[in-house]
Amino acid sequence: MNIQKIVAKYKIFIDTCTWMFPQAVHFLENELPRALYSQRETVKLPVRVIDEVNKHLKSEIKETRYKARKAAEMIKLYIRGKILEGFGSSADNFVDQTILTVFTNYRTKYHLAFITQDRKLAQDVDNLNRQKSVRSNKHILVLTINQFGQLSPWNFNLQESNIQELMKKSSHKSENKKIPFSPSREKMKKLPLGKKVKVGIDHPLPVLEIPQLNQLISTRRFGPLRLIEKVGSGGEGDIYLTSNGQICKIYKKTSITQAKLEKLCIMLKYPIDKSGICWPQDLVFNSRQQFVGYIMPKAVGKPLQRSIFVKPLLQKNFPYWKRSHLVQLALAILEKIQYLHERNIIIGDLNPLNILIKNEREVFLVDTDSFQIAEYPCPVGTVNYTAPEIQGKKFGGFLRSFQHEYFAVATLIFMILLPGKAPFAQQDGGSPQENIKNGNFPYPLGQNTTGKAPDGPWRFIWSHLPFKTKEAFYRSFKEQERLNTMEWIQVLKHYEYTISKGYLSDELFPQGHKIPAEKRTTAICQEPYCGKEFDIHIDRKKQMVENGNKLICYKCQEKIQEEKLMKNLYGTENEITSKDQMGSFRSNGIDPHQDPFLFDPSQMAGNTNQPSSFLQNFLNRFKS
Amino acid sequence: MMDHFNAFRPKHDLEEFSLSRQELFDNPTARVPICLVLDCSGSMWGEPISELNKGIQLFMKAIRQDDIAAHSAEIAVVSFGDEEPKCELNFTSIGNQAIPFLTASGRTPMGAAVKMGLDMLEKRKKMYSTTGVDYYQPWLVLMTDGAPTDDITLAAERSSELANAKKLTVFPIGVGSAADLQTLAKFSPRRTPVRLKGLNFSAFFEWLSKSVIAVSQSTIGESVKLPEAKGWGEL
Ligand SMILES: Nc1ncnc2c1ncn2[C@@H]1O[C@H](COP(=O)(O)OP(=O)(O)O)[C@@H](O)[C@H]1O
Repeated sequence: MNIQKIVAKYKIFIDTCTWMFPQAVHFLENELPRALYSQRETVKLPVRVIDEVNKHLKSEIKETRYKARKAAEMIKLYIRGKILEGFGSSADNFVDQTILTVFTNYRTKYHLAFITQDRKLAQDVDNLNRQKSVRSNKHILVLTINQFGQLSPWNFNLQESNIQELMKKSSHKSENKKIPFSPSREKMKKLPLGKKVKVGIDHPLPVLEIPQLNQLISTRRFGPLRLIEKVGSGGEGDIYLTSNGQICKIYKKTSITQAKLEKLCIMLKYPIDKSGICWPQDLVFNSRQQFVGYIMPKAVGKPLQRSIFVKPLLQKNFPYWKRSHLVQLALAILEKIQYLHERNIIIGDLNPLNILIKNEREVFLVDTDSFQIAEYPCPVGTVNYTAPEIQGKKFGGFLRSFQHEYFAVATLIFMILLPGKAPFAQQDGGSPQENIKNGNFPYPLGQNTTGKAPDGPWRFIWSHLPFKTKEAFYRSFKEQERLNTMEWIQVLKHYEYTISKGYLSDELFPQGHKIPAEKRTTAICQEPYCGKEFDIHIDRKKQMVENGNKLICYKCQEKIQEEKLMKNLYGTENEITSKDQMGSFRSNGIDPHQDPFLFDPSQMAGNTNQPSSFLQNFLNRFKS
Repeated sequence: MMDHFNAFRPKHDLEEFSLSRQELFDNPTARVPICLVLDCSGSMWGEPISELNKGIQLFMKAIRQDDIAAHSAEIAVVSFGDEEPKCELNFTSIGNQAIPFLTASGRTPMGAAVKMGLDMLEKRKKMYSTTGVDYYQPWLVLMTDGAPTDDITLAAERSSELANAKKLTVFPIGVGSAADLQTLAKFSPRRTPVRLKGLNFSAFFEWLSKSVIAVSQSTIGESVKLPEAKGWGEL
């Protein structure tokens, strides 16, 4: 705003609170006097302002005294420099009253400008502009000094007052909340835990335009910013890099709701300054000062889903990685989660698209505005990360508990250690949702096994996990005794330790089952044309020999299974011709009860005393 | 019994099968199987079939370019022309597939083709479940520019049943004014047939790839809002 022009046209009035506003000092000591001198103008000052400053000089609060002293010093300079004219008397009730009276009386004669930090008074003065009974071609300008010390007009947009109100409310709450003294957590600000979802705030807020690439947005803390590059997009809106290097999320119209705004205001009231957590830093407004998004720190790296959860991508992105890197990565993520949990923040929609990985130690949680904050739920979620007791429930309709969250945490760790494999994916299982609900965790622990662990590297990886880790998954998925985040950190530190000591394999994708060194022996594969020597568990060999079964290496077992499956799927040999086999599939009714995969080698791991029925079954099949 | 296996079939088929199975093991991503059942009868000759080929190419390329969809979507193609439907492309990972080149000739055995497509989807699902791979319910895209020359009753019943049970999503598409949308509707009780705008196969396949990408990033069982079908369908 051009102060020269304002001074030339308007009579300037300044409220007590602006005189005492530290960020206004620069304006009051430099810009304004310069403009007043050059226009030979003065500031009008109600005498009550001086009284108020005098009163504040005696305040019990040191900060107030200091501010009042500065204000008094400036006012004296203005008087001495003859750029200030007092009016009214000490008999006036309040400054507010004086100002309103003066403005009402003089508004038809002069253009008037009022600078204040007080929203309510500003609004009242501004309303005079719209008083229908008095017709005037003069204008009242209501101004304030913003946080950057700049003179700016008050914005009486509905949302604006909404936001001010919200910020006040939530700060109020946080002050009331007494955190019990504990030396280590002295500084930790915990959010209140919500009891039930706040309802009736889903209505969209009016928004006239959604800022696009290369357009300007405005913020309170960082001033105006430009959207300089689109870096992502999601269900709720687009993600941009801004001209100050931070990241900005601009919502779609349908996602701009009162609920969103309220949640963000609380988050801003509880600033989290922790690297790797892309916590909201400020609200974002469009050119009409309507709320459209928020600013957050920049995250680096690729989402877990796109960098770790698919083998070829993992090998491409991190070619040197070993098992210990995966464990370290899980720990790095857990550390962020624990930080949030300590503050009563539940992530809710923990999911591999919202965790960005730079390397095994630097990770970033994004989409923090979907977190569950106090009575504002996390309205989204995915099946794999949803605890059985809340499967199928509408996520926006209830508040998640820490127990629900711990299920998600266990799933995440599982899918990092068995890169990308969902814990409930299994042979001949139901839908993921059904499997989770029924607690059908397919991997074996000791005597317990379903024989349904998925084929391929997964059961090998599982067999190489330390018992403690397996047990932790087992408890979390099967027995609903979920570990909390801190406990998971302990479990993984133990895993890290066993690898570092060489007790367990550091291979990313081990090629076979774990056989303890003292139980390892070799056998010769008895398949025709194979005859290779292979490692085998001593008890298993003994058992096979006792039962009069053939000893078959893993590769040959695989081949046999494959052939059986192929036959099962594509019918008998007569029906398949070499060239166009793919073109002549017949539907020759697969018998769903005939399971071609009744053998699960992983059952052998710890279960040697009683041959399982699966094994028996398998062996019987090969007794020709 | 063992000998029986050894004589089972020509070796390279087993190798191919084995490769495809290895890929199922190694890739933990939940799969979206998509079967394109495409009319390649004589009337598609000329510009239609060449536009269709372009569309398929675009489709497969678009999916390969998306990290997640590339590891999630699996595509098979059945063509129908001549007397019998033909499997042009069978399910395996997209990375291992050559883009098929379709030619047009012959009749319109739609019933047999849909049956083949459904059989292939069923087998693929069986493969997933026996190896312990999660999957989304499959999609079947059915395109024709005419009317069937064989009996479609059984195939239509089967696809309708699956669709009603939400075990299959059918996308019925008519090409040109001679396409019999009423017949197409018999396969698809949940999604009404759409007539392609002109020969805008590319726009359709672009839309399809976007839809596949959207689904591959969703979770199983969740209902996904597909992108708006703009630019390819007639109203
Ligand atoms: N702070 C950030 N820094 C860098 N990239 C980000 C950041 N926040 C989000 N992204 C990118 O944008 C994508 C979508 O963001 P997200 O918050 O998940 O959107 P939505 O909630 O709308 O789905 C993320 O997967 C990520 O790749």
